Amino acid sequence: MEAPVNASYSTKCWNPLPLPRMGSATELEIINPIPSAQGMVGQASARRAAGLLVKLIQEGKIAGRAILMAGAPGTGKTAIAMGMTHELGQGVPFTMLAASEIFSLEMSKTEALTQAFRRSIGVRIKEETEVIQGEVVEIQIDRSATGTAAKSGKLTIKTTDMETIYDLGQKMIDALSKEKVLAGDVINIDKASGRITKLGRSITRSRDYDATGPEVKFVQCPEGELQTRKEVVHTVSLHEIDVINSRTQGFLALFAGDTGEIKPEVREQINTKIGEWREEGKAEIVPGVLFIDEVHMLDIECFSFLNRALEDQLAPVVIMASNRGMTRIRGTKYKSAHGIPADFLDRLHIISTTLYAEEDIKTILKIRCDEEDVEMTPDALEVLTKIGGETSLRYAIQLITTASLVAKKRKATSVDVADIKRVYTLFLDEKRSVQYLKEYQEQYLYNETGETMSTEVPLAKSASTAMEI
Amino acid sequence: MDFIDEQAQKEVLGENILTDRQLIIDYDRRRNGNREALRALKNTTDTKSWVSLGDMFIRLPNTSATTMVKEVDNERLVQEVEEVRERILRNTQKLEEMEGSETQHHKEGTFLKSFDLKPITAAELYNIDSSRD
Repeated sequence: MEAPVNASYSTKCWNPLPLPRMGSATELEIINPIPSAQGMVGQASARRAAGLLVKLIQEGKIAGRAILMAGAPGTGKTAIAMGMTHELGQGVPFTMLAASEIFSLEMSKTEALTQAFRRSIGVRIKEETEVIQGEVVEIQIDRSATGTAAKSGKLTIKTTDMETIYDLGQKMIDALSKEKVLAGDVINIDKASGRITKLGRSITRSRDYDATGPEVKFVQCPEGELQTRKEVVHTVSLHEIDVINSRTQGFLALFAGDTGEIKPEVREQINTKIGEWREEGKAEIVPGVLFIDEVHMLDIECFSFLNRALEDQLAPVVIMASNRGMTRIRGTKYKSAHGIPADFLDRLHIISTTLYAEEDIKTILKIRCDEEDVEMTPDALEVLTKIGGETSLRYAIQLITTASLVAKKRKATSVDVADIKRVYTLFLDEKRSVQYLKEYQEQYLYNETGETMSTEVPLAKSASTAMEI
Repeated sequence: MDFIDEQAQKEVLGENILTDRQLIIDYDRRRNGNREALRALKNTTDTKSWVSLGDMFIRLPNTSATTMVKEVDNERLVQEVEEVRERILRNTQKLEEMEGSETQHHKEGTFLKSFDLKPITAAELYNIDSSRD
């Protein structure tokens, strides 16, 4: 993808160092997925594609790309996305949202999308502080007889390797007494601000008293030098920087979660600033991943926004998932594949997930059984696999728990075929439920809508909403 | 690269890091000693003090003793510590690169690269919006 000429809204500062895009001289390695990893089974080709993307994301080689995962319900689209998060690790920001989340009264759709975009872009910065850290051996404070003159004193601090004496002025004495520092405490003094923090009590002093409050924390006496430099690398998302710098909210909004709308000027300033930092070598950009589930719930306005936003120099990798085939684009009367406009569909990489083979269903059910601590006889597993193949995988997974309860009731240690059969008759799967409705719909209220139901509503929808809990 | 060669190289790097860490401790001990000395020189009423130089004690005027400790010794120490820290960082990065695949969450030894960034202060991060008060 070439950098678009007209996409310089609010991002003028980014032009000198554009983020690398996909396909720019990257050697594409073929990643071979092992048959079952991270609890994932089958879907080899989809997982291979996902693995390739993860590798590119990790190397920071792609940004501003969009991927669509298309497939029938229960074929592991979300599972693959979750697997990608796991594989990416801590360093790369990952935001997940269901498309319906953006329809809110408090925020416009584009604002919600912008926030999601900015949540998925990390800025890596390094914080550096000089601290004096050690165990207090002795505090000695001299007070004048009248009590009016300035106090002075001495503070002895040690680590396992060294010990030294500091002369104290009035300010430090006040800070020490405010923190209630005693001999035996392990303290941390920030060199720039002079702020003292108590880290805990030294373990060697733990026997000084028999009774200590529950809040007393015992720590080891620090090792090494007294004056150390602490370097911490943080990854903050652009959205977090937006929030702590937006005038109305203040950073507390980060914890409250309710951030409201953020002014575009603030964002612009932040973009400029981060551009400066990047050039000064103070920050680096980590393009992350934004996962939009049920993407067919987005309407035409959102799609046109996404279309433009993906061309921004600061775009994350966007992964979308949809279980729809040809359907109406929300907000229009036109039909399109996956409910996504054709022009937008054109810029996506499409990974499709296929239905699981019987072998895979069996393995998945086995894993679920282990996960839920349910023992199952081989015959029962065989039957359940059949059910899973004929109805849906989710339905079969639901049966595990219910069948195990039935087995428990008859005081059996493992689930047998009879238990499966029993719950199979007790709980309808989606096909049988539709069948039942067709037969008995005259007995239901408002049955005149029932006739259209079986043709217009995709069968899968009723099943997926019921079971995706 | 041969496995044994690689192990040997890792061992050398690890050993260097440990030596450097000990070196920092020694430097810091000396720096704190100097600081205590400067304090003592400032508080004393005598005009001359005994200064220990290696094996010898020499009686020097306070002013020249102060410049010796402060300018000659302390400034060099600060510089030296800075260099050693830099060396430790480089060696740790090299070591991480060699063991890269083994460190979880930070694939391919890329994590410590971020420590090459120049430091940023909290004030810088929190006051981007210049239109604020």
